[in-house]
This record gives sequence, C-alpha cells and structure tokens, in this order.
Amino acid sequence: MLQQSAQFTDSQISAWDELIIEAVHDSLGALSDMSGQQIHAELVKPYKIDVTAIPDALGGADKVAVAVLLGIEHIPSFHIALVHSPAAAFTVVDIMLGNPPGSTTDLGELELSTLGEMGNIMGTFFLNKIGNTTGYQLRPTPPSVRMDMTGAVLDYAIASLMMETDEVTMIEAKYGTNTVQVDGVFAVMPSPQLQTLVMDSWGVK
Amino acid sequence: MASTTLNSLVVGLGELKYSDQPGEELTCLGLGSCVAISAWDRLNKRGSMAHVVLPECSPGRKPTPRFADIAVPEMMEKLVTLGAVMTRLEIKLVGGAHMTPTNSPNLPAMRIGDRNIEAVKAQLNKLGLKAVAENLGGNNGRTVRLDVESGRVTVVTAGTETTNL
Repeated sequence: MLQQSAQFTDSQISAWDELIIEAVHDSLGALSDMSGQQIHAELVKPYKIDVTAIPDALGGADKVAVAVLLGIEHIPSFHIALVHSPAAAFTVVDIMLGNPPGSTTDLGELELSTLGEMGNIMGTFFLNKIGNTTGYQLRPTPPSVRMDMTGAVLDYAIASLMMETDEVTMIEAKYGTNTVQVDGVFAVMPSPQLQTLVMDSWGVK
Repeated sequence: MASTTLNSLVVGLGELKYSDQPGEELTCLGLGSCVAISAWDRLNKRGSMAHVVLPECSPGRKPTPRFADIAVPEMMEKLVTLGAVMTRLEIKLVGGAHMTPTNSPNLPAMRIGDRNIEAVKAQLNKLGLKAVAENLGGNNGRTVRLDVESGRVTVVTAGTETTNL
C-alpha cells in the first residue's frame, strides 16, 4: 500500500500504454454509439505526472470545470475523470442529446444525468477493455458530476492517489465530432500499485 | 478605495511557503478537501501558508508539508526562525470540504476533508495554538489569499464574491 514506486519493465510500460490507448478508443466508440455521431480522438497521450501537478495539467486549480468522476469499486486509487470547461460541457450535452449547437446553457437535472451517463458508458467500456485483455476485472463506481474549481473537484482523487504514490501515469484524450472539437479531457489516473495488480494478472513481464 | 494588484505566490498542493514582502500575497487555489493554514505575525508582517492534502504522514513516506502532522510544526518552526512570535500569530483555516462523490462505496472511510481539519487542529493544539478564524467544511471549492502586508485573508468560492475572513 505504501510502496512508493512500482518498477515496470519497458515491455510492461509499453503494453500498458498500448492497452489504455485502446481502452480510450473503445470508450469513445461507445460514446459514438450513445450519441449516434462519430466521436473521434484528437489526441490520446499517456504520460507520467507528479500527482500534485494534475490540477494544472487539467486546466488550472481555480478554473471552474465540469467534471464527471468515476472510481473503481473497492479500490480507492484508480480514478477516471472527464473534465470540461462549462462551455465545453454544454457542447457535449448538445452532442449527446442531438440538440442544435448552443442549445444547452445551464446544467439542470437532464444535463447532469446526460453527463453522468456519458461517464458511466466511457468508464465501463474502458474498464471492460482492461478486464477482457488482462483478466483483472474492474467495475466502476456510479459517476459523480460536479461543477466547481478544478482543484476542488479533483481533490478526492488526488488525495487518495497521494496516499499511495507521488507520481502516476495519466492518459489524456481530447475528442470531438467531425464538426465540433470538444475542449475536454478524459483523464485516467491509476496508482502504480493497481497497475502492478493488473500486470500480475496479465502476465506481461 | 483603489485596489492594488498583489504579486501572488501560489502555494501548490502539499507546499508550504513564507513571505515578508509587502505587495505579495500567498494563495491556495481551488481547495477542496485540502486545508489551507494561513499564519501571520502582525508585528513583523511575516506570513506563511500551507496547503495540506492529507492528515498524517504514514511510515515509509517522505515527510513533506502535504501532511498536516508535518506542515504545522514545520511552518511554526520556520516562522519563529524568521522572527515571528508564535503567540502573536493570527492563524486562519480554510477548506476541508466534503468533495467526495456521495455515491462511491469507498467513501465513508475516507472523509478526507474532516480528517484534514481534525489533524490540523490537533497539531495546532499540541503547540498551544488555535485558529482565530475559519472557513471550513461544506461541499464547495475555495481559493484563499493572505495579503502579507495587511494580514487580510480573503476567501472565494466558485461563482461568488470574495469575502474577508
């Protein structure tokens, strides 16, 4: 639990990066099915980051953001977050609901539910890909949707990661449709300890 | 009254900073369950701010101010070294919100905001210190600033006006 940094071989790092990139693409594919529109990734990039730098990497600690947060059942140190500016979140809702652009101007019950369902689907497909590939089954918690300062909405994820590690491998995906680029981030933040469990199950040396 | 733009020293997650420079402010941005400890000596106008993330440093972890049990004693020791007098310090606490998603099964045990508040207060109590003002709990993010020259502490939550603490 308190191990500072798990040591992975180059082939494990490479396999993990490839796996989560595929998992993100699966998630976005599911989003396409949900919205009835082709959602594609503009950027899918795994990288190592100090846990304390996560809020700045996702827009700045005091910038107001709309975040959809998912954890993993019974495992406190694996977090998935969809982070958008409020304007981008409105765009996402319009895409998901098939509304004309600019229709959504506030987050009511329907809009929050739409974002939550989007997080639910993306998280589930992401984790299914990991489970189906590695044999290590992970189930997402129900999504939580919040609009607040970025640092504040990510605090829980950061604090729980910090209990185990100082650095995580994060993957960011920016996405959009053929006509609308969404300025949002799909961030996946597993602790090295959880990565170790998945790797052990997978058997990649 | 004309407003003056202060030079902000951002106190990032787990950091502890000091200043005695007029025109500077110490700032914690986007606090959720984290707790900001602001301490200011009104006579020599020295201030410090810590951005506490977790209540205690577990065995095997590097002791850094991200933990309340490291941040509080380190802050006080350094302030005294810089000429501050502990009994003269105006200590103010901000943050410790309940930001955890309410539907996660992991959460009852976490209570990070509450535990951070309890840990910071316990550490202050150990040193015979007590906060003179606090803006704690709730479930909103906050940004807090300490004007090093005047000692004024302000708090803002998303979409609201700045208030003095």
